[in-house]
Amino acid sequence: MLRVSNPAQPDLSLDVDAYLDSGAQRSLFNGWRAQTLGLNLLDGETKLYGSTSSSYVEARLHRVNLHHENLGDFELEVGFSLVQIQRELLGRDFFNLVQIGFRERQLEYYLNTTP
Amino acid sequence: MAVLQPAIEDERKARLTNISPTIGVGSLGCGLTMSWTDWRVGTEIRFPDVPHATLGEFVSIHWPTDRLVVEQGPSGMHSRVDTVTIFAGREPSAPRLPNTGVTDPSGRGMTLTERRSPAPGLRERELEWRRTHAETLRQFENEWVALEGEEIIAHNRDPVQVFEEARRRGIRSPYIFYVEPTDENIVRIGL
Repeated sequence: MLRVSNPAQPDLSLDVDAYLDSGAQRSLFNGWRAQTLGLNLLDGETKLYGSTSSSYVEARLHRVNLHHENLGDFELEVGFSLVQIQRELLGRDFFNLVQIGFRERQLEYYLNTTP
Repeated sequence: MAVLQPAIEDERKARLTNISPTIGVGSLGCGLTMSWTDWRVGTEIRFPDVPHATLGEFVSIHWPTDRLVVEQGPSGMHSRVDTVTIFAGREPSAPRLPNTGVTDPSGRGMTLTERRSPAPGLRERELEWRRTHAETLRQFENEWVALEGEEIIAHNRDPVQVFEEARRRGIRSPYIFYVEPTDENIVRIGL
């Protein structure tokens, strides 16, 4: 669970339940979230996110602040999709900021701030 | 400075004395078991037979007698600090920890991670509610839902409308999620 905010307007924020996805090179959020954060979605650099089915999701990159209650604050350039996606993904750009471990059998995961 | 840095690192490595590289939940290595769950600054943990050590880049831990006191939380963290990295840089004067026999091969010490609940901290109530009210949420499949505490603030297929309703209700940072249809034949992947 992350609180995402616009660096230029920190009072605009959203709480996002994002999935850790080590198969994703970059993080991907819904474009509507960028708009509600006061970002002009289409102003960002274009990126295509390739899926496993050879289809692509077009996104625009925007720098946002991420806050995790235990890990603190991060700044990350996140892709915001032009089409609606059902779940938001934290990719390897996020993994680059933290250390993550999984114990799937125990339904536990571990995070700390050592990249 | 460039010359000094390796010297500092060499000294740090020299301090790594017989620390077990055990990594994992509830285990400090060294034959000792960590059973506490509260890492807040000022927490005292009774820890017999270990007179002294000062460890840590992120959290400074000091046990002068038979107590272990969390002295300093990592910067940017808040009251709950439940993931802690301890570097095995013991004070040179510190006695050897008992029951040790393995030198940390990584040279970086050990990572201790408290057992975490699936939903710690931010939006804990809402996540717990989602877990316990999956049936209730089924009526909102394919919709976006704003949840505040245990109250559904708004739901709609248009997430922007849900956001606007939540803001209209005075929620500064709304928690809005999509209710995916439940079908046991569907396996979910990232994209």
